[in-house]
Amino acid sequence: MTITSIDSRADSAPDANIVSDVGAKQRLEHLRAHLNSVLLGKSRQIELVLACLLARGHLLLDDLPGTGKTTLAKSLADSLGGRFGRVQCTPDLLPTDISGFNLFNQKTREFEFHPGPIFSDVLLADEINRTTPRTQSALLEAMAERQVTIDAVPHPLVDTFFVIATQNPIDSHGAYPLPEAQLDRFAMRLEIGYPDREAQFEMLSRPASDFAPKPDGVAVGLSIEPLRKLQRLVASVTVHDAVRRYLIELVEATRDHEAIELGVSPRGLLIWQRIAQAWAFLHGRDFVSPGDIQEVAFPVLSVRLVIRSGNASDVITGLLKDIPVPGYR
Amino acid sequence: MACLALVVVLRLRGSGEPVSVVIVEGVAIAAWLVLTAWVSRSAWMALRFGRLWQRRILVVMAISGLAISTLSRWIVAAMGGRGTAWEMVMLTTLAVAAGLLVAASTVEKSHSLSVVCGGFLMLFATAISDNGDAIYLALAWVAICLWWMVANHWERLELHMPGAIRRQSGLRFGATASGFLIFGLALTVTWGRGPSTRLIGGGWMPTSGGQRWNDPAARSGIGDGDAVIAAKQHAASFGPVESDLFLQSDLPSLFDMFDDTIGEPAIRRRSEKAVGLQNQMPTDQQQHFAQSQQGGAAFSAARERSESPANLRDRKTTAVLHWVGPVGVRLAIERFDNFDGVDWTAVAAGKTPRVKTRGGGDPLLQRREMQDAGVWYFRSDLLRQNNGSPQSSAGLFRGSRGDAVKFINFRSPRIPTPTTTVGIHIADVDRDDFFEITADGSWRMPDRETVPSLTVVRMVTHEIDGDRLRNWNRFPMTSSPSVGDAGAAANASLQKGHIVDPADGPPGHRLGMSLAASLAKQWTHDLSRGWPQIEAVIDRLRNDFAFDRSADSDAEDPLGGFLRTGRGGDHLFATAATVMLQSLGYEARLATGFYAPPGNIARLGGHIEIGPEDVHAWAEVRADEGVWIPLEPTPGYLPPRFYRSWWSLATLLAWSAIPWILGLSAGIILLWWSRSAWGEWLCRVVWWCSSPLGSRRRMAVLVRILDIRSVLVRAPRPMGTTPRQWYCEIMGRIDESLTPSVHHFFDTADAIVFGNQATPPVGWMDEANRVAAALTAGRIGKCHREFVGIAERSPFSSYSR
Repeated sequence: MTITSIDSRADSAPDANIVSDVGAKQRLEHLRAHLNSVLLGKSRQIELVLACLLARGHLLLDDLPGTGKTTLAKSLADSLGGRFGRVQCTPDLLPTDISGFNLFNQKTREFEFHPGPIFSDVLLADEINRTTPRTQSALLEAMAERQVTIDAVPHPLVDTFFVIATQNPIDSHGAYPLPEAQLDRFAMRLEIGYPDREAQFEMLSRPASDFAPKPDGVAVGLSIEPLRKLQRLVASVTVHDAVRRYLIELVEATRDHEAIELGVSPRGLLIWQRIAQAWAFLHGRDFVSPGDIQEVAFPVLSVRLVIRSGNASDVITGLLKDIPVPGYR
Repeated sequence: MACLALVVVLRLRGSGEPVSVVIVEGVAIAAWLVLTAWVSRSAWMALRFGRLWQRRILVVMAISGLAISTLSRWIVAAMGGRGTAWEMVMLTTLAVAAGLLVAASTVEKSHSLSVVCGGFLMLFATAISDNGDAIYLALAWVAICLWWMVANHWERLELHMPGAIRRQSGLRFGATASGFLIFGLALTVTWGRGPSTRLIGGGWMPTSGGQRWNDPAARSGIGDGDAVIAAKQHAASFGPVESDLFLQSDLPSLFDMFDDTIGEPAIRRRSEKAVGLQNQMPTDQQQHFAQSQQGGAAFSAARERSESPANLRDRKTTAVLHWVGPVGVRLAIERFDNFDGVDWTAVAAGKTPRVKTRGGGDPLLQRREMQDAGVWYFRSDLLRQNNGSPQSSAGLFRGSRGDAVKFINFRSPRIPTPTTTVGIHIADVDRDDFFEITADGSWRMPDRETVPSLTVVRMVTHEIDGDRLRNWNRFPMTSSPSVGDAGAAANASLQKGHIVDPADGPPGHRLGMSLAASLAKQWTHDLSRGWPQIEAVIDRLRNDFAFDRSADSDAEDPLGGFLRTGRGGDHLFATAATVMLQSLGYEARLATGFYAPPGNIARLGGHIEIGPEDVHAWAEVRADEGVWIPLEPTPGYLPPRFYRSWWSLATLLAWSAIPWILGLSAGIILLWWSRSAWGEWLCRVVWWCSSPLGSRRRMAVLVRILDIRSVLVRAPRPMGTTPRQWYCEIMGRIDESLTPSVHHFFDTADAIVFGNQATPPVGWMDEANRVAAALTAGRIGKCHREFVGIAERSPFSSYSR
């Protein structure tokens, strides 16, 4: 196996025989470049999105209107080239509108299953907090177990099933906040934020055609099969025992912290490690360092910590400051 | 805890030894213990996963080894002349066993068993201790035990803790009252029964020695184990039995009456006073004497084979006295107050002797019968100083202490006592005419040639209050009998403004006296009369003159020779001090006797052996009616210890320690101020010395060095920040050109420590050297100062975006 760097720092990184498929690696590079060209000045957010994708997690984009949440989700879905499902969540949306339903065919005198948009490789649930908790709950089983049970019949989803949900934190009128059980099934929550001045200038300077949607079925980045390979490679990234212990210390600290009402669950712990593995992989390393744990701590923790008092960012910063990092021994 | 118990045992074993010796021995044995424990633990770990029979063999071997090592140690120590009491050997062995149990910590139960062993050791050692301070170590052990138990059982305790407590005054009152009741009962039961060897005497606690088992290292008894046994066999033998020595024990035995082929025992011509024991105190020995005199006792033909007791050896000692009391004490025998330039004489000796009382006793002595302590004789003049009580504190005295002296090879009727001894007691001696105070103030047994050997004299000695002495202004004035005309001439000369010239002063042997007087005047002319003057004279003699018993002495003018050469024996120091104080108008005298040296503490008995070489001379000054203060002008001898209050001691210590404190503070400040410089230098040395280490260890050393440098310049790396984050940030601010090197170094370090990389890439060491040279303490500090807040700024702020 040979190593090819994924980011700019990879030139100085040690040799790590990670990526066996140069094609998959190059496609990942193309995907990143494409997303960077779509969402200007947000390279860190895009890296986190890719980490979430490679870690087989689900993504919650939480930001103000017009910051590019849907654009990013749509571009990612388009780039993957698989089946894409989109649900515009509204209060009258029913669970069967997402998962599908059995319909009695009078000709054949049998029930026929009509799959919903959830049977796709990438599902975009736009404005997820606009729909009712009953409908939101339709995603619980799919996100956790990658299957849907309809009329007592389980219907498996693809193993690369990836949910991108967006929500608007400002307009809370008529919104249904996601329950903790639902939030815990997301790997991370990302805030995209406004682009900086240079990015905005470049955005204005671009011709309008650059923002036109690509034709359906044209994968500008990664296809499903290379994605599957990359996900397997990410899962094989080494996590040293000292780093694992550090991770457990952090998770235990969230459970004992006085300002945190609900700490990280075991599922959250597993997701955190996978995201850190993906982060290390994206930076050309075959091992996870304590810095990787810290780098992905904010998006991973902010989606699942229930803060009793204070600012979540401050609480997480305090946690990272208080827990000693493993030393070099 | 086992080690702590071991140290306590050692402390008890050497109750009279200097603390430093105990500590050194304790540390040595503790080191041996740790080493043994480590080896045992290794063996234990090696066989931990072995089969059952292997483990059994290991246990048998461990127990056998422990027993053999214990016996060997005891035998070797006894052969080497440093025998240890058997119970001490057993206690030490138990302590070692406790340590071994700690070493075998892979077995959970061994922890508790070790604590139990330690607890037994501590309680046993405290119970048999003669040292009251042992209770503090026991309390410390209890505190550690409590901490250990709480730490080990905290979860269980927490589970059983009540969630909330509802206060009830009745319950509180009941609990408090019960506590006081239990405390009172315990106090009543244990009052006066503190840690003491009387428990051993009671016979319920095993100990060595005794009547059947001859252990020369026995701990009990006044002398040693042999002495205890021998003393029980015959009254006149070497033994510690205090009253037997005054028995007429040389009467012919019944055997001698029957057998006329052997000459009769020589009749003792001399007659000495003796006291008979009371009827209610007969011993088997005395009954034997009585029967032999009456001739009615049977003569037994069945006699046991004569054999000398095993290990019973004659011991020859050069000791003159055994002293049980504080070290550094001067025991006076004679006092002299008149010096003619060459010889000292006692003017007081020529005085008319005091009229004896009706019982033939000294009127200066007051007889008192003390409950459980027999008959004591007190000096009435010193009692008057204390309002008639031997214990009260008045005048210059503050409290009393009990001492004892045992006569070994001392041939004199005088009893060596400290200067302020107020009362003495010899067991069963209750006749008033047995003691007297001589004209020079010494204790004496009149009408005897010597005090019998092995007599034990107990005494009560007043402690002098040093604080009161410093402000004492009632030193009697005197006309300086010794100095006389010479002193007057010296004083006159000094008044003229010059030191006495030998040519001007009196010739011959009086010249030294005049010189002493002038020196005393010169040393004390700016001091007020009283203790400051006395202290100044003594201090100058101790500091400016050298103690040398082999120094040549001027036969005609020994004092002058001493003052001119600055060297001499202690008799010359004492002479000079006495003459000087007399010249200043103080009533002073020279005392001769023995000095209890700190180094002659008997290991077994705990007493101080005073030999012929410990004869000593010193000075005494009279402070009040009958109250004389010992002074030590000779350097090398411990000065008399006066009672000092804590406040006084603290003040004295503060003044004497000011130069040290200032110097030390300056040194610490200098070290602190230059810490980055020498710290940087040390770091470089460490980095240079680490070159033989492997790459992984060197990398750890370098990161540690960087952390130390950061601490030195008060920019420590926050514990939640990785070295990569911290030092890359700093390096980026110092020199961006070196940032790639730092990045690469930490990338490699991360790969080695947290990844699968076994060896660093070629050239990694060069990068490490560059990082070590670039990230110096000075640069880190400069970066920290220039970019204030780098330490406070969160390195995670960028992540939250």
